Amino acid sequence: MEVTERTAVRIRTRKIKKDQTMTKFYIFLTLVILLLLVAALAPQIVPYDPYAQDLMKALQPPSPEHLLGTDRYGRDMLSRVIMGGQTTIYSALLLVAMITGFGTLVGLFCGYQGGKIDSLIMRISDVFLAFPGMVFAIAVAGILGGGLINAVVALACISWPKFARLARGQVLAIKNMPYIAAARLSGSGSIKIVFKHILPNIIGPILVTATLDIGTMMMELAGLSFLGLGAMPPIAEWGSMMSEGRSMLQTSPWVILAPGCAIFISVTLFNLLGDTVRDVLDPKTKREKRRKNESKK
Amino acid sequence: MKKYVGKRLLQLIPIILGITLLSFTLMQSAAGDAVDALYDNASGGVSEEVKAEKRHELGLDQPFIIQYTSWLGGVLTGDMGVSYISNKPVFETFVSKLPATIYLTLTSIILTVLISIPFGVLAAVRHNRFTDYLIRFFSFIGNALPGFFVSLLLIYFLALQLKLFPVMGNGSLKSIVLPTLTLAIAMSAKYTRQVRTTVLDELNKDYVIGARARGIREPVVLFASVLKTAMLTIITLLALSIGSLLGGTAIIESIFMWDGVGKLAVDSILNRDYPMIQAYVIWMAIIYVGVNLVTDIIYHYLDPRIRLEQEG
Amino acid sequence: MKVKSKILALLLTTTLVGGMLTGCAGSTGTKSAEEKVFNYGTMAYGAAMGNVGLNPHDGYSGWSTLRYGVGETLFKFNEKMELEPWLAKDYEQIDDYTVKINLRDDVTFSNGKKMTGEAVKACLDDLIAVHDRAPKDLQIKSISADGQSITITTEIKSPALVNYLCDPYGVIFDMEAGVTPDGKNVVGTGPYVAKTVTDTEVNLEANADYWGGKPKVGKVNVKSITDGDTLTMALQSGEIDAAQGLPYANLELFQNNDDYTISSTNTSRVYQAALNYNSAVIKDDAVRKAMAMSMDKDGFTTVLLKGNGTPAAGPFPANFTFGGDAVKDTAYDIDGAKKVLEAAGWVDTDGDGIREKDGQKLSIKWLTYTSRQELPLLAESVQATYKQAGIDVQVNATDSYKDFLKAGDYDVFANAFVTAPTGDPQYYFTTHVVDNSDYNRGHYHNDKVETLVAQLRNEFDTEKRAALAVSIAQQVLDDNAYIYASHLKMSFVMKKSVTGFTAHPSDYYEITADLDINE
Repeated sequence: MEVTERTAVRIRTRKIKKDQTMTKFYIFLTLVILLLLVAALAPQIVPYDPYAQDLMKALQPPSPEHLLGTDRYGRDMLSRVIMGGQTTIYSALLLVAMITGFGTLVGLFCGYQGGKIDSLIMRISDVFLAFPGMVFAIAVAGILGGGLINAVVALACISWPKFARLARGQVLAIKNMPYIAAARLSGSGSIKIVFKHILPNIIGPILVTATLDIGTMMMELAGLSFLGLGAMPPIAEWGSMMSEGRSMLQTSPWVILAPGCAIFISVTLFNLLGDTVRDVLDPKTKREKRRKNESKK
Repeated sequence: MKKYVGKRLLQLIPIILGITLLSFTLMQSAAGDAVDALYDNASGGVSEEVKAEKRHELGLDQPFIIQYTSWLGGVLTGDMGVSYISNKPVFETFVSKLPATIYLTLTSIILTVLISIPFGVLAAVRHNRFTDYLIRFFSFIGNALPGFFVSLLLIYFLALQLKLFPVMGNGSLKSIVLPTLTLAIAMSAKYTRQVRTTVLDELNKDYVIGARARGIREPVVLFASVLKTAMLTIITLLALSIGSLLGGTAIIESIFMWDGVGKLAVDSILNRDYPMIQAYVIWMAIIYVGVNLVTDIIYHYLDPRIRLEQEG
Repeated sequence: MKVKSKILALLLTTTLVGGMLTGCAGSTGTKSAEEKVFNYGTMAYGAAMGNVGLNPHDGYSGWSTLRYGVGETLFKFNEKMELEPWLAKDYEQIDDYTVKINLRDDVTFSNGKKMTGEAVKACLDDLIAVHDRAPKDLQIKSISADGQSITITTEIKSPALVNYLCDPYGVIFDMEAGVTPDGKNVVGTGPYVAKTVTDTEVNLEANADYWGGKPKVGKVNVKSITDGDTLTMALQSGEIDAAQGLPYANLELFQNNDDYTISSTNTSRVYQAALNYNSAVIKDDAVRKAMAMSMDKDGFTTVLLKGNGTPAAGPFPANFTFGGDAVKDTAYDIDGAKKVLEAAGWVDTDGDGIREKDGQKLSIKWLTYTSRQELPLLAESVQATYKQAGIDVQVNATDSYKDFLKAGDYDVFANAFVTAPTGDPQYYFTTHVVDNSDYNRGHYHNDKVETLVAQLRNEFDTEKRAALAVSIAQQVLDDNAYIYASHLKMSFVMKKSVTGFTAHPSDYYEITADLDINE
């Protein structure tokens, strides 16, 4: 009697905690969706043409007319920050989607297949993991020309192994579980087993890592822009706006602070969302797995 | 154990071969011509005739595979060639830049440990209270600002406004403070969160609940049991960071004029100084394998289960 | 927990206090020359520039030898880029192939040895034996020395020989002492002697026996600072006394600021656009004319370069007799450009703001690179003004621009170029406007230009050479083959106390015996 009551209490507190987490999750999800919407509708909502130059109005401080001031070409900073959101966020999303998709597929294959192909692919992924990203980016910029998309390609080339390893590790962990064996016995083909039985069970930690990676990738792209390997003028992109404006920190700080804040806010939002997604999906085991996978980085 | 280390060192060979071949191929197709870079960066123009001679002198007119094998042969005899830009031996130049990077790595790691462990533990202990939120808030800030921006802000406030530290690296004790701080801010932001998560996990484990129930005082629980177990994760993380720092933090080293391998790498990349880039790529591979090896050994040591698995 | 934070606090405090103590060392007051130290931060020294080390016979290292006062050349340029004697007294052109140079009698190397004709011959012989560019520039057949004079015979008629000897590779140093084993240091004749030379720093001490008088500053440290913001803040924090190569955006921090002096000069580094005649659109005279009319040179220099450049009419700046207003360029006139295009049949039929003709859009590919900060700025500025005229500009700013040049995949190539490094116009024309020349990126051809350049090659009279240069440049402008945007203005920013440190149009001379610090 007493025992069951205690269990009930425990379940209730757990439920409250879970509710709290869910609320947080919905709040952050809403905010992220809002951010994505602003980015998606950027061309419609910008107050000015983000590419229209007016040298007479160059480097004006924030005013009612230009809420975030103007840059050195006299372009409206607010419009550029909004427009830059589209470029920056969607290129980070594209990048993460590419590496998650490709990495997971490779990881699923290697983990399930095992054997020589597995170790060969893992050696290849070692090569990419050990390869200095900067060298890769400059090489890609040299082959394909500079530009944001090529920077994304470069980062994708060296980032996919992370997800391949994560997925592979997860597959190895559940590959020999009874229900997989059962599925195999019941005559399911390999492809069906992988996509119907394995993938759904490992997608959680992959999604968490992917969400947390969005912020990281935005920062990496900003770093490449700093080295002149990112977006090309006149494209509005936060990282390149910041590195372009950095020498104006003392004379016209708004030129660097506006995109800086934008990066900060969106990276933080994606990180918060990632954290809560992790809490929503059975906090404990996932956390441990994540740690292991991070220690492989 | 020795056998294991030996096996891991053998694994280094295909990785280094792989990544040098990859980087050689990439640099070749990137076609950024080293000779063009050499003369165009410097002032004034040069006739194509002079350039062709220089290319011949450097062996750049040779087919790719010959360039690669002759370089590889050199490496095996301890000769990494001569820098296209400075005409000095690559190996010597590279090694001469290492102490600066190692120095910066050590100071940043120490500072990171000093920040992230106490604050991470504190945040875990004060879970979901004000202190926790405050610490997490700062860690988010540190996580979401690009390194070059942080370093500019630090220079502006600490060096220009308060005049506490010099702007540039000049070998003095003071000049290492700002680059160290920049690196430690970003890393601590990441690791404070990690430490917090690890300690939280431990705190929720049965043995801790049991110890508490037996009336053992909280600090004792924390230091005697929790931290000891959390150490495994923390040491692994640190090993990884040391690895990435030893690769030289290109942007930070360039901003602070810190004469280490990161700055050397950026300069060489911008100048298409292939032999130097290759040395950097090899160095990164060694670090990568080395760090993986060290973490495995630490695991080996600290966690008997893994030892059994590997030896079994 | 507590113990840990205490240790942390202790550590932090120690670092802070330690920092402050060492920071307060050093006091001001009148210093003797020996005590004066000049710390100079520059963007122009470094492996990327190919000028590390002070051996003039190695690549571009001579620039450093000359700039930092270690070595000197036989002749030098004045502010108007006219030749002046330096280590030489004068020269006589004996015939078209022979020149005799008389040397000063009072010059010694910093090791005390006298600079004789033999010493100069030995140095120049080594130059043409080992240097990459010099032999082709100078075309020297033989050199003979006689007391304090040397006689040089050339392979071809070489009117600009003496000018070429002003190139930093022509720095005279003591060949007997040679180059130090690390290949970086030499014994020159200049006011300063290098004590240590690394890839990032050159430490100099005054040459007390300098033939031109005792230097006023005892020690000079030249530091390579490759990041513009670091350079700016190092100057602001007082770590350096003067800076070269500050980002334009930061210059205004020092303008109208009583603590600093700025020394600026126009250089012959021009930002130019070569129009590619192999492109069907560009071949249209009206299009080239409209493009020349639509470039806002004033807006570019005053707003984007913040006044750190002067609008360029032709290839040479105003301090040259054959530069500046000697030629006339097309005025900035968007409306005029529109009329020109309309008259030629370029009309916007589909209302997208871009003109078309025979179904062909007026869209041009603008190839440039980013390693010079002005070029992307120019590209963006042009993109905006050309659009007003109805011309679409696709900017391709890439550091692998050479590939695009080889592939011919561009309508315009915009670059930076030092048009008269030796003060003479011939070099620019022979590399840019004649058939098959190395840098004729626009594949420009004009019979009249070919004839004029041929005349220039054989003309020895300075005034006539100048007149020829003006006619050639004007013809190029009339054809709208090149559009010249601006000339680089080079600036040194220094603390108020620094004197005798002036920017020179040649970009060759920086630290001289005049340098002084008055605190």
